[in-house]
Amino acid sequence: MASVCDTILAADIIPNCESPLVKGFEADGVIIPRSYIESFTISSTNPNEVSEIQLASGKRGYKCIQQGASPFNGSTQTLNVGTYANTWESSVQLLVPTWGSTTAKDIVDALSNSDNVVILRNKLKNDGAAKTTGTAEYQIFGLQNGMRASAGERDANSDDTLGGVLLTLTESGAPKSGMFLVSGTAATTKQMYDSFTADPT
Amino acid sequence: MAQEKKFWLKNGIVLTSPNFHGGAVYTNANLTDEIAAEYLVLFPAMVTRFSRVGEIRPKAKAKSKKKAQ
Repeated sequence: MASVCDTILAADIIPNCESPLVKGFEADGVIIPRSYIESFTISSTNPNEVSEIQLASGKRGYKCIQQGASPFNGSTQTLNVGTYANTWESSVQLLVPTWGSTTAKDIVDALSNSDNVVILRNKLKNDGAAKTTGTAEYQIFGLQNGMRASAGERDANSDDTLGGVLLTLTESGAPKSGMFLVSGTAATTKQMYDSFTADPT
Repeated sequence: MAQEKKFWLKNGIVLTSPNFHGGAVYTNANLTDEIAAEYLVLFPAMVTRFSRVGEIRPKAKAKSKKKAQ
């Protein structure tokens, strides 16, 4: 018997030859302190789409650039089976490529104890299940429950991290598997994405 | 250094309306003070989407041709 909030399968599960799966993220992302978000608007036609995220006056998000062949490698999304409802846990792994007093204060310590929203760009641009394009690129993590640091390590002698800080941010208990920034056309969505990191001064 | 703009949108806001400049899309990157002022004359309630607002001058009405007697 269906309960009140059950969602029902509504699309075929078949590959789309015009929009085949492509793994990985682009090298750039945006991290926004969740407290800086004044409001956001969920699409009336798709609850997994966010058409607008408005930051508070004078606030901005911050760019997160990852070098290497697999940016944000280790980032995952996992279904958690609950007693009454299943939820999703998302983790984003990133390397802080600098170190020192400012990095420790403004980046590592800040991310260690705060709720954040992370927007990453999938290399996959189009959702093969959809008839429209551009609905797979800008994926939002942490909008529902916030991304908090769940792991962190700095190995000064690591050949991989070269002494940078490897951080994992995690959102637990999210009711939705994925939230995407979709605002009209792909060009408009890109303009919105670019505007998050504008200097508000 | 570019002159500081008088109008500045809150970050994340994209201005677009089918009734304004043919649906053109504006962010802080391409929004001029003139366009912002024009927009707010038409849509004054949208001032909440700005973090900084300059002077807004409604379009002047056409001068009456009648002379005062």
